[in-house]
Amino acid sequence: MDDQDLLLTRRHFFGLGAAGIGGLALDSLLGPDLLGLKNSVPTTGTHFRPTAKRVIYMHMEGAPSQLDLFDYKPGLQKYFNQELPESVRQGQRLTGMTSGQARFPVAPSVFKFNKYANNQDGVWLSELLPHTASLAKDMCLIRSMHTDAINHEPALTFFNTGTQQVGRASFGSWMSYGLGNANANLPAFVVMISQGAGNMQALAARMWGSGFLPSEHQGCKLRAGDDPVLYLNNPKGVSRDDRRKLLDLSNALNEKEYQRTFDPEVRSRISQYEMAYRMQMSVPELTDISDEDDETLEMYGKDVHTQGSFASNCLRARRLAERGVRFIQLFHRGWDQHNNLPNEIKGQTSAVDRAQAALVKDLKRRGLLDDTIILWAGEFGRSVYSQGALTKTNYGRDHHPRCFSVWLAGGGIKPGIVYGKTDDHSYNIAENPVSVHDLHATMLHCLGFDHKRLGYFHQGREMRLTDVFGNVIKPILQ
Amino acid sequence: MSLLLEFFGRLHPMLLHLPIGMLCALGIYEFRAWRKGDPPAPRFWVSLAAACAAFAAGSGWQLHQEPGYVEDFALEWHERLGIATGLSAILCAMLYNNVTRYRKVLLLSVATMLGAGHYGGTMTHGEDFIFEPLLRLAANNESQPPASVVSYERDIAPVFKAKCSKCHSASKQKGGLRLDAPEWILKGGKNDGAAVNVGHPDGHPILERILLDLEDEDHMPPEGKRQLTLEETDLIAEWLQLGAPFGPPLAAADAAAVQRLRDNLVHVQTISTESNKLYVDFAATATDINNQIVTELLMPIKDNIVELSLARAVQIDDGIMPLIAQMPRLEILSLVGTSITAASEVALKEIATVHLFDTAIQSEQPSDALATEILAEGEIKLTNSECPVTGEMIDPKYTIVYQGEEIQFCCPNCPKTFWEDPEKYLGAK
Repeated sequence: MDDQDLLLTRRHFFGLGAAGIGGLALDSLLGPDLLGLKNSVPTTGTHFRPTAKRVIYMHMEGAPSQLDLFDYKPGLQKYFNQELPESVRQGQRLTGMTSGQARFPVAPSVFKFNKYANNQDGVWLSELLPHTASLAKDMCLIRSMHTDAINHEPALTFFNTGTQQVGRASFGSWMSYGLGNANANLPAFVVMISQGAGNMQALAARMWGSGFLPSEHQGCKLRAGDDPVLYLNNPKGVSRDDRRKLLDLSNALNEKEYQRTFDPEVRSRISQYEMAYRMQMSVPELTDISDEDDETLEMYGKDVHTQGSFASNCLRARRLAERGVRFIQLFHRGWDQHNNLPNEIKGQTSAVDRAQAALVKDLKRRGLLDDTIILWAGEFGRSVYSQGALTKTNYGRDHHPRCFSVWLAGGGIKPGIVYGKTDDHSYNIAENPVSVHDLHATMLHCLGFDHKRLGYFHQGREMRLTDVFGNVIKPILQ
Repeated sequence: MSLLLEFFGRLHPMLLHLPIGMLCALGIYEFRAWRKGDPPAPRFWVSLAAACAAFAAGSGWQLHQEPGYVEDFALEWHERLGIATGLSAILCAMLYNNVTRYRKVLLLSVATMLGAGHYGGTMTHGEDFIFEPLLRLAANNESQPPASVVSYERDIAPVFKAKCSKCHSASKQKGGLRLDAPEWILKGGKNDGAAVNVGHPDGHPILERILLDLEDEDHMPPEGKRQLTLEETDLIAEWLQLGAPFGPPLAAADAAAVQRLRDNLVHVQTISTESNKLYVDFAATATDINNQIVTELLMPIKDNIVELSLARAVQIDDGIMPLIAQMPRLEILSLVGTSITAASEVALKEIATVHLFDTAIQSEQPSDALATEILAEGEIKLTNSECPVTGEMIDPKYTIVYQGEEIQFCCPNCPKTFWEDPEKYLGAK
């Protein structure tokens, strides 16, 4: 759509808003204050029929250890405390946290793994994830992810925006731009954050920023507590009618400014004000879980009653999904176990295991898993050698970008499979590597986009989520 | 040298126009001179025309040495007649002194030149390039704009008939495949199964074969047979991208009706930019809608709806079924949390996918969270983590087996100490 079209849409929109939609008795049934508040954001539309309409992306910030959760390496036990062979490490660059270590002793996982039935010949998963293991027939476990970055900030930026440099549009904002919103009363991209039990890293709001895309596509952070969206509610003494009048006036002024400058950010501003006005009604309804039955709450575990917990966010994620929100991102912090991993990771897994399994099952019974992609990922993996002192029962693990595990489910992803293999030390990829760009391209494919064609012209070139990279991983598609 | 020759070959599209003009002009001149009894054209012009014709033919032959030409009827005859033109033009110049013979050979040269020109034009512009507008006029189709959505009946079937039917139709079924009717295309052949992947944008065996290199033995149509033009390939690819629909193209939904839905905060979206099928979701207003509102809003676009979500709309009940029954393309329907009852159960069986959780028809309990089958259990060999003698960090090089269990030590001396009184050291651990 070129600028002319946008302009026409805009005028058309205001024409409708001012005149009402004459003669439509139906409108009154939906409440007069919703008049003229149309979903006005233009979208690109999908290139082909999608298998997924939305994404729930659970990001485990800090990078969980693939060796203790997903990548079963029983053979490592006989290498306990032995030096990591140079033939495996191959001079790889290490972080400043372990590059000075005299030794790189192999630390096998202390956790027991079980083999669960899936749609292939079974999948080995750690005892730390008993509930997640019950998804074995629904999940696609990728053991051969790799990334370019070795530190949290660039790796997170890479995973969320497709490049290590800051300033690009995040995955969710691309979805908002490409798919638009299926619910005009809620933002298309919602972010929720839960605090972990372990070592936590900084988490910047630009991970869900819109970069060069119009700013209405940025993620909206939903907070814990009674005021989920800051500054959303009217100040004391201001009624909803007053707010409406104020908005009408400021919109008229903004529209004048837009006609003068054609600056798309003015349009974004108008639509954001309108969105906030509608969210004054829709957000309280969303976050009020009193209509959930006991059995559902029981599924998510007792933490579901604690606002701001991962379990509470999972339940909210399901409520957002059924209300048509396109991209729901849950950050769970605290996975950065440089030391004391066996103890700290238990706190992490106990916070997420039951709730994430419940979320998938809850979506499934409601028919929503068919067209929702679940992605569970950290920004990189963790090293097989111990950071700091190694004992039989304790060790730490440093950052490891060369291989790690993520899992997906639903939305056209093949269920119950394992894709990719790592070497005996879970250090290098032995089979079917999947880059972050490949993962993005594959998810975009499920969402109906050719990743090479979903672009936005900025700074003299076509920008893409996958930049100039990425291949769709066909073997994991249904 | 070969690069110079290649350059010479590339001059062909430019050189060829010279003999066309000159031989035509000479022909007209000599015809008039013959009627009037005038002398022939000056020798200089005849020689120049002959030289140009020879260069044009030579450069053309050279151009054909480059790879990438599809050997078909037009190319074959263009080349033969072109060389004949070159040779006959040279013969003209040699016979110049004998006016009668010169004029007879010139006539031959002009005739072969016209033939060569015709097939040359066919190669570059396709058949019927010149007359195509007139044919359209005759068919009285001129005012119709080109249709935007590819249709099997109108666009694809004629191509299959022209380029594939010799080997894949009622008369002959190479590879067991027929391409002359939808049911045969779907049945497919012995090698690939169904020729198209209906309903999907990709994974069509037929296109994979079309796009293989000409030299590949699986390429279709086979080398030596008439090939698809680029336009035909594009058309087929476009049709397959749509999921190979055999029916007539679906008209776009009424724009006013769609706008009315959007004005009522209903999400309406085509399933792709190349389709007129619609996905409709009442998520924003689920709790406010009822049978009457939904029926009134959706009736004008009922033919276009393939996916519909009425989830959480508690006021929706069996009264919505008359509307649902009138949606011929509906594939996915969500009635989760509605007041639909078992009375509608039979009618809903018509739809490929229906979600009914939290309704009177289905109130599925979540499966027991830990019910997944465990196929095998991993083992953790719990050896000691510290040297039982000194309490230092162990080294796997110094391992002994005591009563079937591995015990590791920090140095070569500790095992000796250990053997002196194993129970003492194990007890300490």
